[in-house]
Amino acid sequence: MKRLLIVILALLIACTGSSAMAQERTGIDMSYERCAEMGMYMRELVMGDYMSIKQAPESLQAIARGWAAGITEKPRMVIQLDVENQSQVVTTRAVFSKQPDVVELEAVSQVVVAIWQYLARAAAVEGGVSDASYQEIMQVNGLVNAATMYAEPGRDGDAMYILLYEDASPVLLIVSGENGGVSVRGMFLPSEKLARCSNYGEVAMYLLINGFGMPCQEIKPE
Amino acid sequence: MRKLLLLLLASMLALSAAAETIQPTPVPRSDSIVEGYVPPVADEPVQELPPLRDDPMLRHVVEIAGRLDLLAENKLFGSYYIPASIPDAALEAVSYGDHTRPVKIYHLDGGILIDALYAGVDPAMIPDFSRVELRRDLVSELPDLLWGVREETELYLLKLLARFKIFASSEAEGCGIFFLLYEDASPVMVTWEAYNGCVSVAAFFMPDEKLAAVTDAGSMAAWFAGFGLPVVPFEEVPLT
Repeated sequence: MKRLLIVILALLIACTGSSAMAQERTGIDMSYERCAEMGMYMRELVMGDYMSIKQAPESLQAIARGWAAGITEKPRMVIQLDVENQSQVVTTRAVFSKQPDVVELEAVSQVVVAIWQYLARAAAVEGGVSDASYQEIMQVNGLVNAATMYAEPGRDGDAMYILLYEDASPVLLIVSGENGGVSVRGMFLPSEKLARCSNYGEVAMYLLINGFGMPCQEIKPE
Repeated sequence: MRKLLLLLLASMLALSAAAETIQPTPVPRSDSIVEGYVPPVADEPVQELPPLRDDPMLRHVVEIAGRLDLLAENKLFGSYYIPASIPDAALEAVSYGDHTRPVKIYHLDGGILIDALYAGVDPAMIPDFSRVELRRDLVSELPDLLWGVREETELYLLKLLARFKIFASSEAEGCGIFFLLYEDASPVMVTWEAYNGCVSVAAFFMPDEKLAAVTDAGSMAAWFAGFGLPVVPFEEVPLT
């Protein structure tokens, strides 16, 4: 019965997600290929000869290699998270709606960062991919410092993507578009539970359990 | 259990219906300047300055620096964003003054700094990616170096108050650092990096008496070199 309950919940979330996605409020629309490219860039930053990683303590290097070595050009699954319709983001927009645009924009950015930090904390608590502590997760991501940007007019707003691999840490992409440019930051999110998700409903469920229910959809290769 | 299931289903449906009725207003992201921003009222009439030169980079740099003020002074955002344990005096110490309009701006080309850092090294020994990596580190780590030794609370605030933005530009390429000096306000540092037709800029308060007292490109270079960095030429950016 518990399983049935979980399946129904996941389906409901997925359905809500699909209808919300149809309204195209996200504003950011990265392809599977572009997401996969970012994953490969993160792999390169860890496995290449970059000084920031090479000069880091051996323990952190080992953690990073363990997360990145299995990243391939074809993630098992790419999930788009509709951050714009996440309840904390919606509430934040409502709270700051009477403020200057830039304050609202900055407040929403803070919520997006908070979501990432909370998920990283959850990954550390649940252990799994590497049993890294929260501090180690943050340190490794700080060392890797994976960020890129590209020009694409008319892409405004925030989004997140989760990349799942067969044998690597899940990767979270934080994407933000403004002024004709899109910035992408890549973070390792070494959650074993997330790594094991087999469809977008399970990813939605994982996020919901961690307090960040939001519509999701799978992005397929072109 | 069936009742619980029904109850759960009903509440989920109600929640999803409610979510659809709450339609967040799409936020148009302005491509320039702080929209709707009302600068703090000054006690004395402020002398009108001529408008800024029409240069996209300059305008974005001045805007992102002004955004530091807006966020530090917006009470609603401040209460939401800055921990209550931070005393007002600590916030005032790093963000004092009005940052709407700088009186002087100095710029350092990141390429010149990287060349200076690699001076004396055989170019064959420098891997291609190394320069790119250094460029990235320059933009992300320089503020830490230039803040120097400070109290933990102050460093925390300086990082917390940093602001970032991105804009499309087909002209800019490379990286660099701007220092913005104001009349009776803490100086601001803006780092920038450009590639793929975009520029990302980051603004940081840089409360430093010696920096605030800089009067020309020479004294700017001397202040910069005081942190163990190479002596590199700064240029004064024309504002009008």
